Amino acid sequence: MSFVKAEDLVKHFPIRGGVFSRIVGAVHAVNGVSLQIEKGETLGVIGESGCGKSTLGKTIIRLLQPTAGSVWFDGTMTSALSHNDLMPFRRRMQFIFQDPYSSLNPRMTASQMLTEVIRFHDIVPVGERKKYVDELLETVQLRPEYRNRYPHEFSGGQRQRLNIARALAVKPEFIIADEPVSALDVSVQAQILNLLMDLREQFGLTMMFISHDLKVVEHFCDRMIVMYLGSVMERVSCDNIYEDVRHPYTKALLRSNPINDPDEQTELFILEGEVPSPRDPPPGCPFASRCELVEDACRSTQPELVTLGEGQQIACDPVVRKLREG
Amino acid sequence: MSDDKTTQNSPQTVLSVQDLCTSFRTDDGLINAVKNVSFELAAGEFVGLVGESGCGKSVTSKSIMRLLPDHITEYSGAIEFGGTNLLELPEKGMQEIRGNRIAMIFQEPMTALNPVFTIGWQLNEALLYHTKLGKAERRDRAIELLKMVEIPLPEQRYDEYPHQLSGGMRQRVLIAIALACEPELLIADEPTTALDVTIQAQILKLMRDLQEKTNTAILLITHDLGVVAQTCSRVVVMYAGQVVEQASSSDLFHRPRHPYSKALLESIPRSGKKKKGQRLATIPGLVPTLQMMPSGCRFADRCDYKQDRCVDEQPEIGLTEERLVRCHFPVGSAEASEA
Repeated sequence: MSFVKAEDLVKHFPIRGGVFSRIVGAVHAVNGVSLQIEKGETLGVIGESGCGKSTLGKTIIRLLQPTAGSVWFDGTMTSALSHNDLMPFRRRMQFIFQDPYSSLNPRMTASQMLTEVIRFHDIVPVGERKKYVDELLETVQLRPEYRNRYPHEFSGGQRQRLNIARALAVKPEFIIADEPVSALDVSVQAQILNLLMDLREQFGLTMMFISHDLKVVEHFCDRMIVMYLGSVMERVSCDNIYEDVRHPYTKALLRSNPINDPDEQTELFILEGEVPSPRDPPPGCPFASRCELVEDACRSTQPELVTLGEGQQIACDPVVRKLREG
Repeated sequence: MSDDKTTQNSPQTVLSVQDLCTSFRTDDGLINAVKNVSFELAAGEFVGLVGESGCGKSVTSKSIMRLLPDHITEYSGAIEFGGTNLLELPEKGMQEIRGNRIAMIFQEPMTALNPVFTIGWQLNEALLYHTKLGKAERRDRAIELLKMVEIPLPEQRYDEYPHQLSGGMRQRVLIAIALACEPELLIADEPTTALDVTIQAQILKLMRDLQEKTNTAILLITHDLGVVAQTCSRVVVMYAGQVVEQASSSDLFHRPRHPYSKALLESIPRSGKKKKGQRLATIPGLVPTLQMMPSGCRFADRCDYKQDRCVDEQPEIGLTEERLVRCHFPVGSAEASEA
C-alpha cells in the first residue's frame, strides 16, 4: 500500500450570504482527487492559482477537514481520526508554507520557534534541547550564532531555511512543501532547492511539492499531477515530460512556459480564455471551455482518470480514445 | 550596440540614461541605491532590465519617472528624454511628461487600480489631464483602448469596477491606461510576476503586438530571465546598484561575459535536460548591503573567477566584443583563463 493515499478527496468552502448568513453556495476547491505517494517519492502538484493545489495539500495533512473522501497515511485512515488520535501523526507529517515573511512569528527568535515544536512533541530530553536546536540550524546551513535572532533579521532565503528547520525539528517522514521557493530570487531559489534535495536524501523523506513553476517541479520531483479547477487532469513521470504529456491542458501549460533561449523563440503560444469560477464549475470536463480537442460529450460528462501504464494517468476522453484506436 | 537590428531601423534615441546615481538621505547617512547606470533606448526597442531583488532596477525606473520622494532623494547624472534632462525638470514639467509621454505599468494588477472608481473613470483620468478631448470623445477613446488590449465586451467593462475583473484583465486595463496618450516610452515594472503562466503569455504577446503597432519603446523590468528571452532584443543586467552587463539577448543567453550573468543563467532549472538528483548551480553568499558596499568589484565576494585585482579596484564598465561588461576579467577572455 502507498505511504500516502487520498481517495476521492473533496473540499468545499461554504459561501454565506443574506441576512441570516445562510449557506448560499460553495467554492468547489478540490473535486474528487485521488493520489498515491510511495515511500521516498516526491510528488509534484502543479497548476495555476485557484486550481486547489494548496487546499489539496492542507486537506491531506488535515489542516483542513475534508468535505468527503479519505486520506490514508502509512496504513491509517487519518481523515477519520479524532483530534487526539491525530497527534502522533501530526508529528510525522509537516508543512512548509509559501511565504517566508508571514509564516514566522515576528516576536519569536529562531531558537524559541524551534524549541516550541520540540517541547510540544517532546522530541529530545530537556537538557539536550539547546544542542538539538544548534544541530537543526546547522542542518539547514544557518549559523548556530543566529539562534537568538528575530525573523526580521534574516533574509528571505534564510527565513525559508528556518521554516524548513522548523518542519524538520520533529523528525517527520512526510513533508508537504507549498510553493517553498516562489517568493525567492532565482539564485536563492537554487540554494533552497539544493538544500531540500540534500535533506530529502539524508532523512529519506517522502514529499509533496506544490508549485506553479513547471521547471522547478520537473527538476525536483519524481512524478507530478496536474490540477485544473479542483480536478486532476494528468499524472505523469517527471523524467521526460516534454514527450510524455498528452493532456491538452498540460500541453498548453508547457507551451506557455517561457523558453530560456532568445534564439529558439517561436510565436508565443496563447491559451485563450480564463479559468471558470470554482463557485459554479461546469458539469463536464473543467477544461472544456478552453480546450482545442473539445467534443460535445466533454461539456456534459466529466472524464475519468484513465491509467495508461508506466504510472501515467490522464483524464481526457478524446485523447484516450485516440490512443486506444492507435 | 550600433549593429543592433532595431537600432538600424529606427536610430532615433528615445531615452538616454547617463551616469545616473540615485541616493537616499537616511539616518545612517547617504545611501547610494543606484550608481553610474547608463543605457539607451531607441524608438520601438524592447529592452529588458534584469536583476534580483534589491539590485536597483525599480529605483532606476522610478528615477526616470521621478516618482521617488523628492525630499530625501539626491540624483546625479542625466536622464535625457526628447532633448530635455528629466532630472532638471521642475515637478510641473514632469507632470506633463508622466503618463503622457512616458507611462508606467506596475507589478500588482490587484492594487494598482483604484477600487472605488470604475474602469472607465480611471481611463478617463489620463485623457482628461493630457488631451483636449471632450467627454463623449474621451469615452469613445477609452472604449477603443479597451478593444485594443483585447478586453471582451469593452462597453460593459467601461462601467465596471476593478474587483469585477480577473488579474489578467486588470493588467490589460493598466496597459490600456498606460497607452492612453500614446507614450513614446513605456516602463513595465514586473508586469507579469503576479500572473499565471498562461495569462503571462497572453499579456506578453499583447505587449509585443502593441509595440509593433505603435512603435513605443518598452523598458521591461523583471527578474524572470525566461520572460526576457521571450520578448526583449537587448538586456541590461544589474547587480547591487550597478549595470554589470549590457548585450543583445541572444549574446547574453548564449555567451554571458560577466560572471554574475553567467551564474544567474545557470541557477535556473533547465527543462528537458534532467539528470536524476542533479544539483542546481548556486551563487554563494549574499548581495552586499547598501551601507557596506565593497570598494572593489561588488560581485567579487561571490565570484568564481575572483583575482586580487577584483578586491582592490572597482572595474569600469567597458566595451568587450560589442557589449558592455563591468569586469576586469570577463568570462572567456584571455585574462580570465589565466586565473
